[in-house]
Amino acid sequence: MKLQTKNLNLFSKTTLRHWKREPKNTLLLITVLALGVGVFLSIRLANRAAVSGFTLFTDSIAGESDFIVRAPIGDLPVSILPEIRDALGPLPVGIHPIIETTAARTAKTEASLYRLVGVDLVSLNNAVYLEAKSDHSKTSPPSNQPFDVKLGDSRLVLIGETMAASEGLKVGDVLPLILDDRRIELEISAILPNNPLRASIPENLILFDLPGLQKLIGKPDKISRVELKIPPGEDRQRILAETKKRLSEIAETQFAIDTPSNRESSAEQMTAAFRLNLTILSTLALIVGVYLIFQALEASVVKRRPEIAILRSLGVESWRIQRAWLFESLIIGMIGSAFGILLGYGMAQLAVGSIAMTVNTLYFENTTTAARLDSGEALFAFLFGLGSSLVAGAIPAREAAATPPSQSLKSGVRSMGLPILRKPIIGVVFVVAAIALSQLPPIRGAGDLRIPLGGYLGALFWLLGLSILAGLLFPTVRKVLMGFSSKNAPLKYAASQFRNPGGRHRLTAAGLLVAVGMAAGMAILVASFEHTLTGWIKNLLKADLYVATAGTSNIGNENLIREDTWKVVAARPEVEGVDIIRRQFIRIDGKETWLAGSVYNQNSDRRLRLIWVEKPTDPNPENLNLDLPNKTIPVWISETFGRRFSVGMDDTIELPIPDFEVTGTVKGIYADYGNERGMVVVHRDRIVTWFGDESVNNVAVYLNQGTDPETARTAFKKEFPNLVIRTNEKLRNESLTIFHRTFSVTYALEAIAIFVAVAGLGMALAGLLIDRKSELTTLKEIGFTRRQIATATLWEGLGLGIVGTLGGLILSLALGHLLIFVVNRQSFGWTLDYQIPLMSLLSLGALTIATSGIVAFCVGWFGAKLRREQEG
Amino acid sequence: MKNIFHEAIGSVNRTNPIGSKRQDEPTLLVRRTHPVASFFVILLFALMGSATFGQEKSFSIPQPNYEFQFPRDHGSHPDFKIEWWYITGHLKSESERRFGFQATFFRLANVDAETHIYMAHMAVSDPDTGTFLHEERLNREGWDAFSKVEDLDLRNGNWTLKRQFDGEMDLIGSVQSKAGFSLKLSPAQSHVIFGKDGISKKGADASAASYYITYPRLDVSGELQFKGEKMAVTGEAWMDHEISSSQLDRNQVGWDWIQIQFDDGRELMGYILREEDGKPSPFSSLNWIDQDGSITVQKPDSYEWKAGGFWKSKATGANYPTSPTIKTTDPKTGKPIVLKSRPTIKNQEMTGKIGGVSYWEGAGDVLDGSGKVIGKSFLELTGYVGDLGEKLR
Repeated sequence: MKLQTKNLNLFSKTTLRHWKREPKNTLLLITVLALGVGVFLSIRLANRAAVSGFTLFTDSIAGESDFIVRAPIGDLPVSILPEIRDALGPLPVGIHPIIETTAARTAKTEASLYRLVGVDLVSLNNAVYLEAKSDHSKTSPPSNQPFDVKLGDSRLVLIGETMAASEGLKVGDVLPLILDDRRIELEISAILPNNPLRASIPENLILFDLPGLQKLIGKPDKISRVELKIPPGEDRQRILAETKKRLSEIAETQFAIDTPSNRESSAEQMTAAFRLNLTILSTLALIVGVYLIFQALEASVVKRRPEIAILRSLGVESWRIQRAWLFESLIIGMIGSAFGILLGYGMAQLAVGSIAMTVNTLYFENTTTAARLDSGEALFAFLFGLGSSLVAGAIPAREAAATPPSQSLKSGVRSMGLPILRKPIIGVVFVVAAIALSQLPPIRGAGDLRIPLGGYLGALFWLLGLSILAGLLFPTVRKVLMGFSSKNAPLKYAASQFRNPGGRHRLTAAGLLVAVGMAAGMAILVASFEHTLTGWIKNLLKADLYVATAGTSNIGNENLIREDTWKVVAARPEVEGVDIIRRQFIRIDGKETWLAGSVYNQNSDRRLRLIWVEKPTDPNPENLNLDLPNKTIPVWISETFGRRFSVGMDDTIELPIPDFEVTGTVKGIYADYGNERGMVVVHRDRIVTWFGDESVNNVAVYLNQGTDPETARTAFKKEFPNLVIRTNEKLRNESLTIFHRTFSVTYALEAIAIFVAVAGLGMALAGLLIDRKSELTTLKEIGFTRRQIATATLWEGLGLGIVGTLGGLILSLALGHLLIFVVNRQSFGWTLDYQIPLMSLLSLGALTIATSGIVAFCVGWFGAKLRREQEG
Repeated sequence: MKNIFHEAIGSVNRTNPIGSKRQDEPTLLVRRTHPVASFFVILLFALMGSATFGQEKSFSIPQPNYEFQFPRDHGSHPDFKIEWWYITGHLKSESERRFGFQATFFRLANVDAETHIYMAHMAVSDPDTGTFLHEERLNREGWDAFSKVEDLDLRNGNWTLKRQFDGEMDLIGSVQSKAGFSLKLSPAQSHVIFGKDGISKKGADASAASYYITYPRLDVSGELQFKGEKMAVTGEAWMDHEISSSQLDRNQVGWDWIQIQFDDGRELMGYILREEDGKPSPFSSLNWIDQDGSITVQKPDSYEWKAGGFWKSKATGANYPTSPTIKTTDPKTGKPIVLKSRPTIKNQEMTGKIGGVSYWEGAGDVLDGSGKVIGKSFLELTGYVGDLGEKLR
């Protein structure tokens, strides 16, 4: 108790007094830490939201299902239902067949998609009833306002409260939608209230009575999946186990059994690489923040040396001083992290849309609108922020404690900074280690997850190694500065600082280097991605017009162009030929992927060209229709598919086609940056044979020579108002827009990192000026004006900016290489061309240096003023 | 004649909930209740659309001297609007633990007379712990709910009742994951048919009548799982099968019904139909069944049905007379007799969350005037919750 009081006294006498004297400094420190923690948390929250938006509708209406039964491909026949019931015998299992499809609000590519869900509204009562019973809730008296729902009607629907509110819909309103290639009108017959204890009814969910939706989409004897619910009770666990056993016995090849938790975890696995990348990226902001806290605390050690010396002379033990400094970083860490959590929650709301859009485009359809503050994530971010602050405070604290009283009293002694920064040989060792680490194969996690740990560690060692080696640039920078003018006094003074740069200089440069390096590294990745994608799109998009259903930018889109529609498109007089493709969800080894069947235009020289990773011996797509001598069928797979299912050229794949035994042999591997699930391509005729359905997802139209695509598009649109028809150019632009949006979060993170780094530079320079208090006094005495002092600081800032930026750009080349050839290939399975966006890097460099200069000037200007005032 | 739908029909009769809306399609009324409780609470009777007296052209009406054919008539009669199979009974485990059980299957034709809705209720009561478990269920006709025409073969989810070739019936039921039973029901006595000329009249209106087939005593054996405990059980049950298109008169608000299995091998089925003014309808009756299956009918002027043992439900607010006393003459001895039914547990209420109609249906003992237990009973009390007509307006 006594000890604590002593500590508290020490804290209030030193730290608190210091904070009171320089509140802006303390505020900046807390802000920077809050920003770091905030960015880190917001990305994690937004990610979590994007993945959890992927929920089953029953979660929001009747609680979570225990099992989900679905076909390996396509729909299930309704005849599966009595089969399941018979198999389950006396087990009290609620069996809820569900049919689901999508529809768009308007005939636009990126029109928001609605999930049309058909569920037996009569039997759903049983699930709701049991759920309500298990809630142990007290029911309030029922209201006397009944909903009037027509059973089996294919026009009357129910929607959730959220959708009704956001779209201003009420009972009786008509909701026009585009379903497949036709326009339908639905009438809102009831609005379901949100349940405060469960996930809200997804905003894009439109609920039908099962037979109604079956009728509407022409599938009276099909269902998309069956959700099974086991009621609460003492016997539930036994019944769960028994149900699983009995289902497995009849599943064979006709259906797959899933649980919502493993469905969600498979969604998590699928996006794991994406999320990992973002998390690493968001850590960047925090790392730079750590540098900054380190600098700031170190600066306060330097500044308060006389204070420390007095304390030491008064007999305060060194460990007590060390503890006081650590206590200070702890307090800053706590306040900063707490603010960071608030900030992170706010920023997550902004980021969630962008991340959800990426997930929609790349992985699966989800309905996220807001990120929730997850207590676990918040705690993690808080501890991370606190830990970072303590780590950053540890060295300055030790330094403070270790300095003997006599030395402490000497003013103008330069700080040591991190001693490691003065040892270039360690830098070299780190770089060698980085190169070695990046050669390691990825670590395989659950499911699809591959963690390129070697790549990430390599990046870290590059970062540390170059941070140390950057110090070698100081003499060169000094020479360059001296080269401008050897007579300019402020310049000379500034250059002299780099003759034997102090720890603070090295640290500041390292901070900038990390920020610039990581930002530029990402810029290289993005540019390489864009370059590859542009090339890919160019090869892929050879046709003049592209016909699709509304909402095609969303991977969850299940709408199709029916046979009688696309055949009319193909038969138009201005059409020379068409490419058609039919995609279908398929589950192989329990993982969802795509099966596609294509037929390519044979009438024109212009052809779609796949970019081959492994070129087939027979590249003619028509020949995909011929069986191979080993009785298997030839298939082409996407690079991502190969990675996910670990198959390569000439490997075989069992395709779970109902009523057919199909084995495919991989005869070609092509690059596909359009989806993360992977795809197996067969000849379309096979799809028609297997599923008896001539509908297609997309039609690429080749027009006759001389036909203006825009004119043709207008004519097409008139005939098919419910389809999305884009010209080649428009589709290209849209593809790139989607691509850029995917990276929008990245851009924001980079900006924050640079901001934090430049703020760090400002703080570091302010600290340097304090360090050189006696020098400044001398300078003023020999006639340096305030302006000259500011100019000297400006040059010094520019010098630091140059060292940091140059080092950062070198780092970015290494990081870019790692991201493209190690991290991306290992985690996504995408091969990208290495591209250096020279202009972007130069602008980034110039901007960083210029900002450094401006900040430095300001520090010098105000610093000089302060000195005079203080002296006066 | 036991059922809750009389009440519903009576109400529908007074106020047509659907009014002049399209009546060619089945309609479901979904009521908003407590948001936690449910999004859907269906007023079941509304499923039957605009069914009212005098509008049932498409449904059959019970005819006098109908020639029953069994096992066909144990099966479903889809040309009638309402039909139910109602089993209530008493079970005993090897360790002499007593349970009551109820298993009821309802078929309700939609107004199109072609499609049907199936409702079912299950309950298990344990007097030792005072536990009453129950579950309600609703399904449209199809793969998960049906009643076969040619013989007794019913399904509602995992609940099934099926007659085997030897005349025994297999009953499978459950209450959530808390209780489950698989029972074999063997007729200890042949079935009886209530009512004059094979018709059980419920009111003055010609259509207010039913075919009422009953197995007054079924030997039961099988297995019961109760709160994780599995046990072999034996016991006795009662089964009603009632077929009608409408039964109640307009002025009837509910009824109290009882079945008694006396220790001496006889049974009794009796009821009072309560009219709006609180008086019993003249169509009420007591039906004594002798060991040989012969039936003695007593009209309400020859017996007294006195309500007692009131229990107020916290769930619905209804005040049920769970322990009635019947004073009448024993047809066998010709002497006055007092029959007092005493429930094994007070709370045996079916709260009607899905069907929208609450009622009390519970196991009990029957005591004579001296307080001696002379048999076991099952009592049904309906029409004690609110005003159904108001709900529908």
